Amino acid sequence: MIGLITGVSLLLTSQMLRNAEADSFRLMRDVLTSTLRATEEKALVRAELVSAMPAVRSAFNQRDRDKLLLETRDMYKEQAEKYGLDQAQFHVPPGVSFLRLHRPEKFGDDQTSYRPMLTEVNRDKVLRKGVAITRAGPAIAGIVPIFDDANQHTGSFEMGLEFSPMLDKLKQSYGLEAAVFIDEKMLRDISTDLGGDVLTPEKRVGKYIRFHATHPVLLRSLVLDRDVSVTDASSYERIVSGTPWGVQLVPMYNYMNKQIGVYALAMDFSVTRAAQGRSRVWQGLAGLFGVVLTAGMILIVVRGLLLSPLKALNDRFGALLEGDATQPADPVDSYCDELKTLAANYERLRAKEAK
Amino acid sequence: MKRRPARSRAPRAVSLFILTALFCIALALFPHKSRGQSKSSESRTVVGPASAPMASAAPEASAPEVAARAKTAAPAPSEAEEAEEATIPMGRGLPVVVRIAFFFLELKELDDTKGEFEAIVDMRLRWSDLRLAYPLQESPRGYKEYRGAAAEKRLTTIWKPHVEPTNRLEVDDNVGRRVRIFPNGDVETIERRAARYKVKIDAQRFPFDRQYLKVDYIVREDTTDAVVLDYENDDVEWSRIAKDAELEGWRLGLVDLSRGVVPGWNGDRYSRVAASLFVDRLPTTGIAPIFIPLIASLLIPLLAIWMNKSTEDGFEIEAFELANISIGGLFSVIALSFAIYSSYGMIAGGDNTVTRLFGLNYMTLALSLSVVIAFYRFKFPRRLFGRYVEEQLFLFICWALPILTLGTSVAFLLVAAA
Repeated sequence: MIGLITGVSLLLTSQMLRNAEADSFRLMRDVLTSTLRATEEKALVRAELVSAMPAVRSAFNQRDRDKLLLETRDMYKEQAEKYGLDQAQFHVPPGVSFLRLHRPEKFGDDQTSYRPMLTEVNRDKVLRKGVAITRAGPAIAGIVPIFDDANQHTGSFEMGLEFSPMLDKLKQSYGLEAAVFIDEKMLRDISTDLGGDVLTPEKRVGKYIRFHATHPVLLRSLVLDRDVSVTDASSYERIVSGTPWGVQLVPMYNYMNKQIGVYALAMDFSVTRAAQGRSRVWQGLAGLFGVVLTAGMILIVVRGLLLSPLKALNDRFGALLEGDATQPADPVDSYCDELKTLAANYERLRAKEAK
Repeated sequence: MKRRPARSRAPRAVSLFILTALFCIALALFPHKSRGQSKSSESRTVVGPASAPMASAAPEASAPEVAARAKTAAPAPSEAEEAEEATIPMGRGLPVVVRIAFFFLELKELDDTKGEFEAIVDMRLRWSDLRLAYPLQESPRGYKEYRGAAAEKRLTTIWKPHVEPTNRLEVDDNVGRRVRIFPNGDVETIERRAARYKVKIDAQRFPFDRQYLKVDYIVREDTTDAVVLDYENDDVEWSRIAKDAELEGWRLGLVDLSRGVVPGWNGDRYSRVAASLFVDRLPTTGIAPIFIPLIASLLIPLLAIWMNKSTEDGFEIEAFELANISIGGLFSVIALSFAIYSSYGMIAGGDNTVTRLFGLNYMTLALSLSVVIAFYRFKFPRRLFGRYVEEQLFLFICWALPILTLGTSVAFLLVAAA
């Protein structure tokens, strides 16, 4: 019974741990979603602020590239250095690059074939936000339409934020290690401006490239080729350098809901696992104490108070039958109530035999 | 009660043997103070840059290439320019973001008793100073490089962040330094130092414990309004342990960076970044010198119980004979604790597996002495419940006490390992 109780207790503890870890995975997904949303908002707000500046609008509407660059160049530098701005670009309808602040010398290319979000902004004249893969690489982008003084649509402005500040924030605020994996084929096809250090064999994980990681060495062990090919949010646990980690993979979708990559978040589960291990050991020890002490009590009561005195009396009866009346019973008080009568009868028989 | 002289001498001999054995084990523990040191005696001396060439071990891909090249003789700026360049660079606004990264080249020793470790660590700093920008044509390699004395000299003429370690105890005077200045004004310095650092030892899970060897740097003089220490993906990748590094008795883990601020006067805050390398103790190093004697000493009080035998008249061996074993065991445990705590100072205080096992030892000794006094000397169970209950109670103690004692000691170890 004690073993059963201990077993049930262990099961309950394991169940509690599983629930706690499931909550942790859910928390990771929620944190990622909210942080991503906040970053998209940030990109959108900045894009709106810049596109609303009269000098910027005027230069863009006049299609004066040099003046536009002059107006926005310093702003871009500051934002890029301090706030993780990765790319900023003006487009003319339906989605032709007019000026890339991150690469001013390159313009005039039509992006409508691979930038559905951009195409939609210029077609519907509404702002959009989301993850996008551009010539300069993947970014969290916000695109706003630009209008002239007569409220005629003249183009759009896009701001793309890097993933790294967002993931670093996740690490700093929540202690989560994080990585972003982007489809290698898409990167090769679209992000032609990316540096050669991004598309390296060391960063290849399955069909993806590890684009950014808060702890590359750790993430290399946590997310392997066989793990990363997910189409739904999935989680698993893995031990790296003696530390158990809970890994949550979340598919990354672009504006058209096409999967373009995977987010990986990892949480150190060593504290909960250690607590579970300790709990199991203490429960097992408590069970051992329970079994031993209960067995001891039963043995002492049954054998000490009943069986052993009974055996001793039985031996004396045997001796009496052989004619040996020299062995007296133990003092009557030393027997339990049930044996006192038997001991008294033995004494009467022994006295009769002695006569 | 009739004594049997041949048997009564046995406990004395056994207790004497146990005492002798435990003292020998205790004395044997003293040399283990030196664990956690590097295998080779040559590498114990603090090695400077000469014996650990920066270019050969720095994690940067271009480092070997750099080592092969000659020092760059960059044109010296004028005095006025130097004075101007030595002030804080505000070309990109304030605060100046200084990116920092660490590379653990070699671990020489971890003295967990003193709470210190010795290591050769490379520290890389990167910041931007637009005043140092120059035309790309001036440097075909893409940067101007200064090494050794030239680097020291160049650093006196430009602004550099005043970063200092907060937990460094001793440092070798030899320092390897390299400075690179890029055409866009980016500055990169790498400094290699052999030093001893303070480390907080947490022995609660000894011998399954994990220690964090931390190198903690803070910006002096400049508050977070002026200078901020930070790191990016590239710095995280650079921060790691050398592949061939090792530390005897420990398994090396990963390096992690963390940033923070230190409060100062009047609301000032100072930026800090720490690199911590975690190391896991190899549990086998503690089994022979600590846990075998501890578990063995648990048997002493049990012997005081096992050596006796219940008879119709009471017990075969008199109480004082077996009390001697318990008292001898008490002194053995005291001697053992003295020896272990002398060698492993970090486990002397606080709650850990060793202190728990010592507690269990003392408790088992107390229980065995209680059995000797209650059963053998005053015969309380017999007086209260009769000889049959006494007999069964004694038999129960004979098997239950070892099971519970050993079960508890195993539980202590498993809890530490969990």
